Amino acid sequence: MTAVQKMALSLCMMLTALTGCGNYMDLNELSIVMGIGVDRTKDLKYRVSLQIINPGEVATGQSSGGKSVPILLDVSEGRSLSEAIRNASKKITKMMEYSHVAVAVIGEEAAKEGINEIIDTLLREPRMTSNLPVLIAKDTTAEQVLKLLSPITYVSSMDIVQKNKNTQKLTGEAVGTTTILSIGENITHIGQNIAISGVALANYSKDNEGKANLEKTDPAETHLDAIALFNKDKLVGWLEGKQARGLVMVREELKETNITIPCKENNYTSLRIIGQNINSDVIMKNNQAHINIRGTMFAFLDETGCSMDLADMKVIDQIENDAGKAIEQMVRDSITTAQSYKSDAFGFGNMLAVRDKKSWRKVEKQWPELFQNAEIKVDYSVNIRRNGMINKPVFYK
Amino acid sequence: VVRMKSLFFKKSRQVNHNAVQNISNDLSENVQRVKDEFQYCSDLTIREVELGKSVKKKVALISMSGISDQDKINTGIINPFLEKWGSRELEHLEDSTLLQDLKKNTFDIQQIQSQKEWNEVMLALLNGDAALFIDGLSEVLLLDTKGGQYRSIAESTTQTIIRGPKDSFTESLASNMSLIRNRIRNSLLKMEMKKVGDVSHTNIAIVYMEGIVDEEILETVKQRIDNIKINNIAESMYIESLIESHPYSPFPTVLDTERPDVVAVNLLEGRLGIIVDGTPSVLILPITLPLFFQSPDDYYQRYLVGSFLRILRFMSFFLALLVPAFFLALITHHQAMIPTPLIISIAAQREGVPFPAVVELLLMEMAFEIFREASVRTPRIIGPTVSIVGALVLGQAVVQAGFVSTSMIIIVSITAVSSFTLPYYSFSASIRLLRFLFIISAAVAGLYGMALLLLFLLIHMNSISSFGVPYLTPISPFNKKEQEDTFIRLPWNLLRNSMNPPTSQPEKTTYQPMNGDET
Repeated sequence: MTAVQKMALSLCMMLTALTGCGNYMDLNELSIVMGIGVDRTKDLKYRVSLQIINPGEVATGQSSGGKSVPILLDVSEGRSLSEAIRNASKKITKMMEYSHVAVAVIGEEAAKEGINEIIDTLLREPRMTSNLPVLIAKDTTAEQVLKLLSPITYVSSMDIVQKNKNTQKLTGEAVGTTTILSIGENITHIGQNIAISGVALANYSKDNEGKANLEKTDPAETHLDAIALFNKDKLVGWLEGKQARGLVMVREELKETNITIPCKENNYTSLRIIGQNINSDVIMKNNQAHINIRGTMFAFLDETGCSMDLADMKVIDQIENDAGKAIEQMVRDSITTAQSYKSDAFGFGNMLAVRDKKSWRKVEKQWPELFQNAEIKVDYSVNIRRNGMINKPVFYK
Repeated sequence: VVRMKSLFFKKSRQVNHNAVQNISNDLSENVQRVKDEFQYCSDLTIREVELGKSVKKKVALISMSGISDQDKINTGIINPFLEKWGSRELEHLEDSTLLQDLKKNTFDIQQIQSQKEWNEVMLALLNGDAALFIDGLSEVLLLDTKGGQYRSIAESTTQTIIRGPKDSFTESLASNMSLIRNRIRNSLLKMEMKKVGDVSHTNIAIVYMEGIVDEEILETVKQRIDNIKINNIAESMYIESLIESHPYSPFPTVLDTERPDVVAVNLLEGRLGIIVDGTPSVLILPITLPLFFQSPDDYYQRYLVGSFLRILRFMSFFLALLVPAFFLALITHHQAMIPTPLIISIAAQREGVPFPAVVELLLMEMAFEIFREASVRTPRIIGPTVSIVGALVLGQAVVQAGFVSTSMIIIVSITAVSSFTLPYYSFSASIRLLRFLFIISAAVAGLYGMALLLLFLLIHMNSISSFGVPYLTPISPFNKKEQEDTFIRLPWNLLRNSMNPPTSQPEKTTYQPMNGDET
């Protein structure tokens, strides 16, 4: 057999082995799904909203006549999530392409019913990435969130994820991207309950629906608001604003945030937190959990409304002291709120498990109650690193 | 006459062995014989001259007018001849003395030989020599008057560089040999002549540096050239495909160049060159894959620039080979691998495109190949028209008409431009062909198909060799020392090859046994 014959034969053999593998699919035959929203109806059916992109309207450089909207929402119901998704495909001419799904939004009501099945289905689906970020719609439905046409980027799914990252990084009022994989791993975990950032609608009214929103200078927007606390798989409450920051601080996920403390009546000094050093531990004493949190915050001084000489160490000490107290209050608030929901989103249980495995084994079963009644000690110190380009304020007297 | 011709069409070597024909001592018989042999050959010129004052002796000077230098014949042969012998007494002159005198003292010609065999004389005539037949003598004087019209040495049109020598080979074997000799003024540079082509009797020269060249390879090449049985050698490609070890492979295993500096450098690196009369493409062998990425520019620029250019060429090689297939695999099989904003943009472009992506891509690639072929073939005057129609009008219109998507045009253009960075046309032509295979494999099985084909290609490249040298040397088998001039080029003072005395044998890699790659 010559080399050519051998080559031809092996190519033919290759072809037979490949018969089952052809999954050739042209882009024209695909609808790209960008976001999945899950709500529950009153009769507890799943209501799935698929945010589908209309590429001609979104892509840059395309001469679009503005004839149609950049995204469309395909909503359908079913007894199970998969049934609902299957039903959704009836209305769309093209095959659904799930590999580009950017976010899964779960409605508040659905989250209260429990997210076990939703997370399980999304994780099981091979076409979707297991790094899919999840958000909880606050005071609204997932459908409403995905329906919104966001100005500039058009596709709300893509920008919610980015907004989550920004909020977490700049204010510390949202937990970092929570993926379906991490939720799946932690949903039954006792030492730490899951916490997911919430997304809400700002400035929303009936007038802002559909394309009208794109023509407003003050459009309705999605924004990150509060952190959803879970007990096992059920939404139990929200940590809002500063309480949310407390959670992010204790979880050591804080990148940057702002602390504002009064220096006079109606005048405030602002610090920018740029880093933290935290050392918390949990011990069991007399069948009660004692939670100790000691931390140091590193800060820049951003702003002051009072006339004071910042070159004076005593002044700085005073500010540091006040700021420390403010942070302690913030963290304590945050923990107390979580205690009222019996949701240990901070991972104190885990801390105990790492530190003292024996006692953890003993108390594991009643940890939610123990957490609820735990005694909390918070001790923060603040270290001001820089106070900007000038020492004395311009209005210094 | 017919009998003579049939003899003549055989190889001169065989004629020598079989039927040695001697020259008659009757001039008129000889002249008639030549006339018979070159019947209807209007370029045959016969000049009959009479010598002596009282005793006359007839001689005939025969040459082929197109391939011999007429000036040389007039000033170097006929003028001194008539001056010296026209009015000389021949009465007491022996024929042999006459011959010796003619050979040594008469002509202003560099090289003069006497010949007794008829066929050799005919071959010499066909090479441009002039033959002097003398009445009463069965020996002929062959005078070197080779010449004729050749294109002058000009700048290379296919292998251009920025800095460095601009001269290139021409169609003249002698001038090509001189271009190499000009660069290596050393007696170790050998140029062995051979004749190939049973009808055309084409001259070829095997050029090598004695002591540096691998003797075994030299012997093999000589042997393979001797074994060639073909009527005509129109171009060096004939020789290349008849002596190379893997004629069916898509990859060339012999390098062809128009640049004398490339040949000179390669000779000094132990390779040998084959110059074929009538073509400016000179062959270099044995060669390995990395050589196709080396341009003289790498060596004539600063080493950092040179190394950068070479890495760039390796990159463009992969671009030219894989980009269209890779793009096709992504958009038809692996949509998840494309960043979201990009896939949205591609999807938007593809809306309303009537053909499947693979058809679209093949269409565009074929269109491009047609333009490239057309631009080679078009007469130079209307060349710009073709490129304007091709590049501007058609490229724009095809997108606006919705035949193909813009991204496809981008992909095809990147591929085309990348393939032009490769310095050797023979190699980039192979890449062009292989690209289509990759496109089909990507359409059938996506990245998996491409990986399979790439694997096949790697296996193939590892299995072939050029005259015993594995094709992928020094990458596979790996040779650490040669890495200094493979993907990068180190500065001269660190390059080992530039400092070795030329007489020492360069370090040999472990070559495959030669008998494994006989054709």
